[in-house]
Amino acid sequence: MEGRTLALGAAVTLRIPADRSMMLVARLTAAAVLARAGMSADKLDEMKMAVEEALTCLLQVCGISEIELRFTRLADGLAIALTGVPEIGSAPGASFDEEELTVVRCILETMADEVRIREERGTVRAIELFSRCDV
Amino acid sequence: MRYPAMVARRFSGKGVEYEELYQVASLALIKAIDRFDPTRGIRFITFALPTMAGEVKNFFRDRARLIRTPRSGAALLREIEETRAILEQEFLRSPTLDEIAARARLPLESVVEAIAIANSRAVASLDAEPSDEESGSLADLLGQDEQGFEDFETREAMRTAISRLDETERMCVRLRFYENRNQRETAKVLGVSQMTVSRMERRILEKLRKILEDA
Repeated sequence: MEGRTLALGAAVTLRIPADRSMMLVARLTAAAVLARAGMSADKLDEMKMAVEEALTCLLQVCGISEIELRFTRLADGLAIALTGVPEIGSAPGASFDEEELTVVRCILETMADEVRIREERGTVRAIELFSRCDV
Repeated sequence: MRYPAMVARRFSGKGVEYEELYQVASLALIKAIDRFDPTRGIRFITFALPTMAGEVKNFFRDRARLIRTPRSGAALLREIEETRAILEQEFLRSPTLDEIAARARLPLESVVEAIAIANSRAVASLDAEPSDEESGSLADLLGQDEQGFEDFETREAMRTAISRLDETERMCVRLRFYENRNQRETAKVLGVSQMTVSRMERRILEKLRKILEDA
């Protein structure tokens, strides 16, 4: 950290149980990191929603025990990677179809500047969001 | 109307009614139909979905903002503090944030955020420099009581009170509190036991307290 801003290349990692009740923790952490990355209030609101949507999506995947959120400050914005951590001894399974995933992608694209959904053997394993600094 | 339902469902359960979201998505779909140009060679749904998602997102964001912050920051904090005080008296313990949120009929997130904001204001370092234009620390800008006056008054009151003690007691005070000798050393100088010094000390302090209170 440098003064009141998140230094270039600095990362914040949060690992939470894959449970809906943890949404608040993720949203508040996201808000704090976005604020430290110098995002505008509108961007902050949108990215909080994007994090919530990405988390909802990962929570639908069966066999995930934890979700890791990694916020990385880049030169032109903030990258947020949400990765599902599989339960020991179980392989995550798909919980929604291609059409629903298209809707999720579309929703995320209205909030984040870049969206990447990583799938492995037909199931969502990670969602990467990027928000460009607008101030 | 499958897609409006799918979009609305993704935003529902977060404080805004599904029906409202569905309506917004349906209207966005109609707008998309009006604007769609089949000659551009893209599928209709590829064009319509972002429009629906965008409209619902904007509606949800604006509505959620209204729901989350129905009061100004200061009013919200005051309300949370009042509720906290009431619940503390009721439960005879510090209430949880869930309990505060439930009683104040506020979303938990608003309570957490308001408290976080209040705390972040409270922990501003007094050693921090106030701004680029001003030198010194925040502490330098704060007004301070002139400690010297209070010290002088206290010293004068103590001198008067000590003068009303007998000679042995005055000697005890000097050895114990001015010369910082321990009870054993004081006892040796006064030619008494350590236990006597301990009792004398208690008696002297009570006497001084009474003299100062009466004054």
